[in-house]
Amino acid sequence: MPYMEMKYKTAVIGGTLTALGAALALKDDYIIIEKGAVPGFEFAHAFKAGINWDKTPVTAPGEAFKSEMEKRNILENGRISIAALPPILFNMIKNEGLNFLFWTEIVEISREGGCWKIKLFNASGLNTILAENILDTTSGGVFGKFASSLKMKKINAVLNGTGEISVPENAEIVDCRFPSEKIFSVSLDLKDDWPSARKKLFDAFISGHHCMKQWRIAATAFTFDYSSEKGPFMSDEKWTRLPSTGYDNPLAAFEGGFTFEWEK
Amino acid sequence: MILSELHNGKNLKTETEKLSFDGEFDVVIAGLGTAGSIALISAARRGLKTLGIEKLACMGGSATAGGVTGYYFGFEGGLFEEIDEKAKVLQAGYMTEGGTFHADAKKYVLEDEALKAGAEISYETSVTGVFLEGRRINGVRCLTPQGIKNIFCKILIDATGDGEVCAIAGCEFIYGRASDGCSQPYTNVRYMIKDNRNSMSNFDAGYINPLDGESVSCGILKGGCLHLKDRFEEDGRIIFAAALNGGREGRLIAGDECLSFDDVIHGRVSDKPVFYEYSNHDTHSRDWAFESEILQKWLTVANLWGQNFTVPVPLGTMIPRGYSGLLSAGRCISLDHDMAQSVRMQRAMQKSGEAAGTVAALSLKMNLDIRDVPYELLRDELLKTGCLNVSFNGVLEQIKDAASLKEILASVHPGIAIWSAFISKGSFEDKLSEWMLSREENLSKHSALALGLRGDRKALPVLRRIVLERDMFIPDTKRSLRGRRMASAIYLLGELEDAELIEELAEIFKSDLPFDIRSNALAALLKTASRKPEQRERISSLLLRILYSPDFKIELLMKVDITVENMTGYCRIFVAKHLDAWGIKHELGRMIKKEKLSLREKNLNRVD
Repeated sequence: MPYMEMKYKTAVIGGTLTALGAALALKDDYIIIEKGAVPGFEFAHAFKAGINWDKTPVTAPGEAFKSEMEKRNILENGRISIAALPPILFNMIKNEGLNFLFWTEIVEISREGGCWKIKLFNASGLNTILAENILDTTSGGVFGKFASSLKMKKINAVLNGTGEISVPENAEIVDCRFPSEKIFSVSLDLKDDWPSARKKLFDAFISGHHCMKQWRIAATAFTFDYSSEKGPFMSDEKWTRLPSTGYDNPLAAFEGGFTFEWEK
Repeated sequence: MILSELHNGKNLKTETEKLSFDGEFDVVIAGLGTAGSIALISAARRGLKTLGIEKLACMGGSATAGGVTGYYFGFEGGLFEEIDEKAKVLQAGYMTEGGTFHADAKKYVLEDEALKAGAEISYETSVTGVFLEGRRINGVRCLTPQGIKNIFCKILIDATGDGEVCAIAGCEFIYGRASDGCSQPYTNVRYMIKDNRNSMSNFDAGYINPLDGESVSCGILKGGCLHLKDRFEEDGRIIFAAALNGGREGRLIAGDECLSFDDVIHGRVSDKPVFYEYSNHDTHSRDWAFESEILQKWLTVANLWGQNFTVPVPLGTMIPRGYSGLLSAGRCISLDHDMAQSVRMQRAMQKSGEAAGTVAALSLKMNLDIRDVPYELLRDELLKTGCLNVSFNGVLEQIKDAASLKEILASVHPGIAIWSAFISKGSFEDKLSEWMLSREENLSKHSALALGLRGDRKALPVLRRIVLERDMFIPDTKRSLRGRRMASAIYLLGELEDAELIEELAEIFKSDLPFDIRSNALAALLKTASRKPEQRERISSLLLRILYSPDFKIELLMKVDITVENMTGYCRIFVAKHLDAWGIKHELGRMIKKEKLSLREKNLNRVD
């Protein structure tokens, strides 16, 4: 259950896979602040399946996480049904008692004494907490301060269908856990906004549809598929950036967060 | 100029120095969900310089990000029909089948139409403050992905669903029901592919307080957990986890006009609607014994949960009282809690958005306050698109002749007859008394329910018989939520302050009979004791004996039977509050662990 206290040792920004791993290592005196309603959104809501799943987990929690995904049939031979990841993450948060605050945005961060003063906004309105350390796991940093460190940006859609599928020129197709499920991915300019991105996605799909007539869009992503530089980056001795999208896949991001905090 | 904000749930107004705005608009719409998306397009198409602000990265709210891709009643007609038609074309060509509309097709079309109309959209943006000159809207402070921005606007439309922006502005509002301050359950939709078609499963995940950040967060976690399966299969796989919780009831603003269920169901309605709602009283709460008296009569006695009725909604419900340049659209308009269960369906909420966008445009073009826009002009605009349907034939068709009344009372779905008899007090009395003596079981018992509802103690012998027989008859209304005749009779025993079955009702409360029966038994006992002080010691003693038992347990199964709400502590607190009010000593406080109270128990504990 989340709790709002005045001061924490660590404020983790972004309810990402990296944040989840970090929280397991931190154990207590932290809070994870997520503006949305889905943990691991940077993969699950971006429909970003990830790559290099064949690498063996290096941590015990990572082993357990991979094992659970396989046991629940969402991951097999490096192919994942990414939309099924959130329920597993939600239950991890509940079972491990992780201090996760959903639907909460960061308004401002300033220095107060030896701490970070973090102004939050959620259904209660404005609130302030203090934290000694910040671990920022978001892609481009709070308020997009580090957007320039983003390497790549895509917009994805989940397809449903059967039969032949040819990859259109301006897109990629990613196989998923189940044969009738694929991800359709279109590269963007970093400056593409949502309307422009959606238009590119639909234009690419529609123009290429004649090569994959039995395939249709089931859903389009809620967040962009980013690739970031791999952290950690120390903006300040007490502020570390560890973008979750710097990792190849959800498991690597999870282990990255865990390892970072565990080895501190 | 004043900056009005919410700080930890409390409204705070501070004087600000003159500041330069980062943008200026005619209309800002906060929240581009069901109502807001249509408000944005409606206002922009009328030539206004409009800005839509949305926390997520898409338009459409519940219909798109929330996965609710079907309509539940409501009337057709209005701008949203055009959107749905365009979405259908896109879906037919390129998207998976299923649903009344495809979430992503609608998402795309809404955005496309808004931009074509010249609207600007700021995604991943929230309103954190409202600028006011006195009580006149001047603009908003927003949190955007690039930081804080101050935006000037002439009119601000709150389409946030939970009336967030109105609360930030300092508007009055109500929240929850009188008995325990709680609203109805929320949902967390499972949006999936089944048999190669998009499909959704909508269920009650529990209760939250949408005014409290921690409660919202807990609700998101709890709802998300419910989608876990031992093994995910290809068919029935999740397409996406809902990007927002399915709230059904939040703040209800205090508007220039307020719609109450009592008024509406008695036909006391406005003749100047801007749209109509058409639905049943779609409460997802199953603890009707703690709802208002009028609702209990409708739901528990007449069993009319499934009965649809028409609600004319006037503009005054969308204008926060005392403010200028501010409108609300969607489910946060000015309704009482009872009415809020009905006036919230997607079609009507889209109409609400269209009405807001339209009146905003008329107001600015005519240089009039929103309140001064002639109704006839607004009506004509809304008639053009079909947002306002012409033929209103009354809220609810009732039975007025004795022959029909008798026929329906004698049937297996007597609800509307029971209600018609209740509404037409002064008529049918002799007939009802005569029919109550009939040998036809349904005619006799349903006539007794009708008489009891009218406050006629002649009904008591038959009502007692229904209870003693443990009559579990459920009317055949072909709708999902229906109560047992025994619960109806128990409610009326309380209304009529019957002292003869006090011990029996206590036994029923203690038993393992279904929740609706047990909870009504408790409520009836407390009502009798409230109205008859001479019965308080007797009733208190019976209840305490039951509640003191560590084995006492009472649970409520929520809709779609996935979530169970433990009502044991709730009932102890409910009784404790009554005993405290009567000055009767008890030890229930020892059994109520304050640090472990559920949300609803905490709320109940706070209510006087």
